Amino acid sequence: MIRHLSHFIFLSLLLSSSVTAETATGANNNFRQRISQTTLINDADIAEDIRAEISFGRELATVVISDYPLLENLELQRYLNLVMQRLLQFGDRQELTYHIAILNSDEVNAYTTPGGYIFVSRGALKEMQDEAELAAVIAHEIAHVNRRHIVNELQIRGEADPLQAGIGQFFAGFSDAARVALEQAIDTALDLLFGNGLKQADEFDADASSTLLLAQAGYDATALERYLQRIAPLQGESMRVLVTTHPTFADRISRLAAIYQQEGITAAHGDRHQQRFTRHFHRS
Amino acid sequence: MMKKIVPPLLTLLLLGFHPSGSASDVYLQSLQGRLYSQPAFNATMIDELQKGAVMQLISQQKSWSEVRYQNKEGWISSYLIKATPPTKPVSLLTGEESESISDSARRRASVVTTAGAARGLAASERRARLGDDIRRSYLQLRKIERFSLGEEELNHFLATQDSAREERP
Repeated sequence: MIRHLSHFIFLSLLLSSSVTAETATGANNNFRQRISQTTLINDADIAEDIRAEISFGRELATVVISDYPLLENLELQRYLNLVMQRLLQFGDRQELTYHIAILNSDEVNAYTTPGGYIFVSRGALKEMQDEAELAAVIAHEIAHVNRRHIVNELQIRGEADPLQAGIGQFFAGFSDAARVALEQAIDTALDLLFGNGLKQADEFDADASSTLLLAQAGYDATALERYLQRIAPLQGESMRVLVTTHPTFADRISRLAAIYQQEGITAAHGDRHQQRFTRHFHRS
Repeated sequence: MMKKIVPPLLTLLLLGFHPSGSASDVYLQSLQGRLYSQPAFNATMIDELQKGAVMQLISQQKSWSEVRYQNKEGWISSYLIKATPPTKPVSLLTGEESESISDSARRRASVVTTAGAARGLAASERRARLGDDIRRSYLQLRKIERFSLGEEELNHFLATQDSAREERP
């Protein structure tokens, strides 16, 4: 397994360093467009790519956990898993196994790493009023995974033929070159999560596709708008990362309204499960 | 660099265009999918489909696809269908025990040093805490990965209706 891990990650990172180099030249927009068009056309569901995605997501998740303590509460973890599984009945990437955990942080945010590792902060949970809002935040994170936003940005890829990549030398262990490449990619990914954020288009895309996921799963699909309206006025350190990594609340909310209109979504449809939500949070 | 990039891209390109069935066949990717009479969630539901269901694509409109499923015609979310059958589950977990904690901790230690620096933490401060941090993070991740729900528990949860749903205006 360690062979696999090293070789997938090394390979993907060779590619990602080329992305970084392009970005530094300032030609990133066109380059990004070309990359994303290629990815859209191919939409590669090759097991090697998926393994590379999971390997990288796992590494990144470990780094996230090392910077944020986890909230150890089995009852809440069970509840978040149940809500996530209800959404995943309508998820289009059944090849992945998704995992969810709570970060013991006042920060109002949620994070996801490739391959299906989802983290919701205690601060975000505190601002929610019902299960549909919780589902909306989880659905937004699922959308980042399912639409491969980080994977496409970093060009994480596997390689079916190790010889083609001259990977044999790395079988003995994790070479310096591979480690440096991994470090660079992890740093770039951390910047997407905590620094400059993903492309705004990816955030709008996640809002849109998560709304459709909520509606499919029978939740009140206007829940994301309700949640964003509530947290928009909040200020201070707990909002810093969310504000710097995402488009403005006003912009997100107005685009959501257009989606609701277009898709026939109203607040009258779908479950909110407010009582069940409150019961879980009071017990915990 | 180009040599390394081009072959996978070519492979993907070929695979992407390789038809796996009739040109207009599409497959349900999710465990469940709902077929509606119109391209909107407030339209009448015609049928509930299961993962792998084969439909014939008639037309597409924004995020909706008009499809024929058995003898019915209706609309399904385009997010749920693809021209290829659903991918089988992929996992790294087979043989994962062969990666010892010390190996992965050593490797991650270096990664996190950089990560911490990127986030404004002093590298020396980060390094001092490193051994324990990484080992603990890795074990916590494994715990998250091992968590699973019982089938009965999940089915019960999925079947529970929101009793307050009808009361909302």
